[in-house]
Amino acid sequence: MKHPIYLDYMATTPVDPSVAEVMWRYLTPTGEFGNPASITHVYGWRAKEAVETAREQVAGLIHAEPNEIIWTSGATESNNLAIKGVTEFFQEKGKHVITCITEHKAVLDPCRYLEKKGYEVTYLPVNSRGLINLEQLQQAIRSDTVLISIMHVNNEIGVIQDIVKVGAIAKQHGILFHVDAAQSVGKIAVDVQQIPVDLMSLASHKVYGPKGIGALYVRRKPRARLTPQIHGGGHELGLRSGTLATHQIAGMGAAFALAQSLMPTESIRLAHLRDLLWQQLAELPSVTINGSLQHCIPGMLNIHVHKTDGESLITALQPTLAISSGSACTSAEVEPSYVLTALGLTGEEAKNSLRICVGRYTTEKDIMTAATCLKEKIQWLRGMSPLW
Amino acid sequence: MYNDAILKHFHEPSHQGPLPQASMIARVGSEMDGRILEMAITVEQDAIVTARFKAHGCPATIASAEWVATYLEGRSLQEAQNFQSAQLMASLQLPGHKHYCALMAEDLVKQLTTYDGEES
Repeated sequence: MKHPIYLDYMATTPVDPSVAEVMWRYLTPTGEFGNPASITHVYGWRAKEAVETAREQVAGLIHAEPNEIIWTSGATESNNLAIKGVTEFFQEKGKHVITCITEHKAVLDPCRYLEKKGYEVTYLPVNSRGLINLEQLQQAIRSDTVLISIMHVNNEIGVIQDIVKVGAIAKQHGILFHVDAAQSVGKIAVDVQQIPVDLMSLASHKVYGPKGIGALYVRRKPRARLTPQIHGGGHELGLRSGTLATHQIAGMGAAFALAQSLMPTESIRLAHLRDLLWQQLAELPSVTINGSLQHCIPGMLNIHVHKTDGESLITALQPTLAISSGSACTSAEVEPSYVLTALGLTGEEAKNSLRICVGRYTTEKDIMTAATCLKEKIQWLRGMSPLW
Repeated sequence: MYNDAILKHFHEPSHQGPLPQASMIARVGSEMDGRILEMAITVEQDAIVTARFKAHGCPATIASAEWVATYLEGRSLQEAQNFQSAQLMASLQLPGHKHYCALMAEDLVKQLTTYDGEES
């Protein structure tokens, strides 16, 4: 069976072949398979060397210092460590957190957990473009606010929040600022020297690195304080215990280094492919953009195909295209995306939406095939619909 | 993920579209519910000759519409009156959370076959 064209790069990316080659070196008996914590032999020293090289590569992409990078199992763990770690450390100071309703579940669920523990959480709304209102952020700040957590780029609509301004507000009030940057780092420039951010969650598998590895940037000056959530050996400056996965870490490092070198050209190419696709789809009646292209990362398109069932459209496209819908399948029913309903779409409108993301291996030919297929299937479904 | 029976009926329907000479048309569901089934039939001497559907909704809704249209053609109105949702559920092996498609289909067929003499 021929694989469909992959247009779901926000969900995950394939490991770049050059990255996979690097990872292989740290697995087999003839490679550097040692435990980076083994200090008594060359196997450990070499593994440690690989880990520290990767730390420099990851730090390099966001202009951080290597000792500000803490390895985790992925952005979900990084978010948990940041949110639970900071609130636990500052529990005597206050028990109020500010976040946004369109955050990833990896931020919202830890916040819900905190609420069960007696914390209060303010969930900022967004406008129809998916952006928070900085006035509302100012108003939400209280004397007991200990953390503001706002994502850089939304995983469903690709909208970029103004984290420089959010960080400035947080700093002005002496509140720690955490950013879930899983969907931005490697796609757009991120410089922690320019952004007043204290903690930043990073993912490897969104940037052509392996799954199962991520990092948390923890600012050293001024030092962001947090309580570790995993204990057992005091690895990673005591913030995250557990044997380091050398091959995963080396892979993330290589992927981030590659992203840094490719980003200037790749971002232009991806924006071009996205614009080309939109140009084609805009020829159809009643297809609109969710969010805002003006504030969107390159390569990302979320569309509302009016009066056309999203699940049927995705299913019709499945033999040719791998894309994602504006809904989440639960065991019982298809639930509309909470991100899209937060923009003001009804549940039905959210269900009739598609997320299309192009990436490193998408070609212009793929885009033309995708556009033809999308147009054909949308017209096919509308042709048999009593609504058209 | 849908089973092969549903996917086949969804991907390759042959009964979709309008039926200009329809003897009867029935419609169930609403846009607000996210699903609509509309069926038009031509009847000659109490026998259903042609059935055409229009559908809006999930793949199981469209597959059900195609299945019902195929089922109706060639049957007498009286025979069609005996249609029960369980037949469709079993034939397409509809999962529990998609049983509503078969229930909609049953309502649709009831509307069509309880023809009161007035043309639609």
